Amino acid sequence: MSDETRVRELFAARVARPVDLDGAEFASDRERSIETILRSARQGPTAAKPRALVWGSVGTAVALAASLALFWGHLTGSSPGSDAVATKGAALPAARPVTTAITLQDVTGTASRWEAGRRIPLLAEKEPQVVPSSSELVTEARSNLRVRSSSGLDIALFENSRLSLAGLGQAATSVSLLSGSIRCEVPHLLEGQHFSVQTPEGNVIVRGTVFSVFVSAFAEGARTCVKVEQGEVLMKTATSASRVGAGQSWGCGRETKPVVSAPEAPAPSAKPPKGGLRVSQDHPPTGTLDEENRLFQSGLAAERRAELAAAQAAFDELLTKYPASPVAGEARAARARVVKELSSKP
Amino acid sequence: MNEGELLRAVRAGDRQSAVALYDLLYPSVARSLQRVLHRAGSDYDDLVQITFERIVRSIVEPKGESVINLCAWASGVATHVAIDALRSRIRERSLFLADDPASGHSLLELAGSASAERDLDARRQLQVVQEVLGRMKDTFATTVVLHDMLGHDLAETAVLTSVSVAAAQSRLVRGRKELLRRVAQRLNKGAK
Repeated sequence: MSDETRVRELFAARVARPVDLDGAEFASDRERSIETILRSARQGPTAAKPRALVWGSVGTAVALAASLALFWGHLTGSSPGSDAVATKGAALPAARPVTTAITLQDVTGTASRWEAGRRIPLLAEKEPQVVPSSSELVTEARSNLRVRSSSGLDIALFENSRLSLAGLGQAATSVSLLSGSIRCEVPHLLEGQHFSVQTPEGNVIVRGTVFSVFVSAFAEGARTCVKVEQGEVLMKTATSASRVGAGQSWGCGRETKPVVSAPEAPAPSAKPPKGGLRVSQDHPPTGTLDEENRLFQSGLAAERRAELAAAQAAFDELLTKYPASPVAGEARAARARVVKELSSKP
Repeated sequence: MNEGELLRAVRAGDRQSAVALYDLLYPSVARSLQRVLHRAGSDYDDLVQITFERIVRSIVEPKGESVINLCAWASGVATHVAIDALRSRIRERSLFLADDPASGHSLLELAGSASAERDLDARRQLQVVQEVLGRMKDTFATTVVLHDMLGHDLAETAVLTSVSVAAAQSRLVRGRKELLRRVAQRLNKGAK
């Protein structure tokens, strides 16, 4: 049994215990806290700045980045109650979260969305299809689609790609590109707002006004290529932060398969636009890493939504198909947690 | 209202915004404090106040809006506060007085249990883990708790502890080993 599994077992009782927000055991004085907030705000900042948190970043080493891809689900809003370390200035509620409506349009070819461990084929049609933010979108060869949010965000998802929408749901505004390529058009952002694309190699953080970004990421190499058409983005990795302006690119020179910059903003179509960003169909196979990662993330996502049976099914599928997976340890621990919770329910 | 506007309003002393901030962050704060502490002590509400004070004072500075996701940040701050509290309790020797299964409270609870022995073992293990977390090196304890107990992934854990992902991974591996070694040591000692 791995150290991780053993530690998680030690913590299992705590993790399984529901958070007491009603004060049945852990009583807290709400009014006092509100006064504390107001008083602390008046007193001003502390001397030490904790803002190492400002931008979440992901390791640069290829091996590390590849392993991080396995845990990517957490970044997108994920972990049991985990909150994505992602964007700033995202829409915040006065008292409860505001949900962003997400629709899929212009679906062509073979595309699907994964939810709670289930694959749901997407119909090839131009009419908008509303999808939840817990979706993970997958396109196959010669397939693409467009994602739009009610806030005006427009993302073209090209062939052979995998995109998690978890960060688009409520407070955060980010997406996670697990593999493949996308093209983003981000509406004018208010002061303090940001949109980011998380890749295994780092975060592409949008700055400025209206602009477009290309990202190409391959899970097996965790390479990220960013091309900016308008505006400016901040490319943040674990070791560096680079501003990339209009007409510039980041990380593309390392690609074994060159990525060609796209012309103006076409909608995705069955055939990628001439000269547009595309991922070569003969890029190295991803093996089963993506599938393992997807199953693991689906299980975690289902667990977060308290869909315990679906979570167990996803973990079971992962462990049955890929018993030697690098995430098998975590999956076993998560499965044990889910089973325990299921058995404790009447 | 976006995060920036909310923080600016809090800074300006707007009560409604303070209420909104509390409502937004308290679930994350409570989750971290409760999981680490496991049992409510008389100081729970004080720890909540300390957490909010640290959170707010770190984010109300002019560029504080850039503290990305507030809930994740709140969880990280609360974890630090909770582990500090564990250390204090151990120093004051109050932890095991309050949680001792041999106390009347615990025995009363156990009396109604069909699996008293198993419950006792579970409690004993909880206490040991609690004590070990409070005695471990802070950086290791915090990293293990954030990742393995609270479910933050490695990248988040790195950001919340202000280190690189590689450093966080190293701390996680070493922290787990230390936790397991100390727990095994204490449980074996107790069994003898």
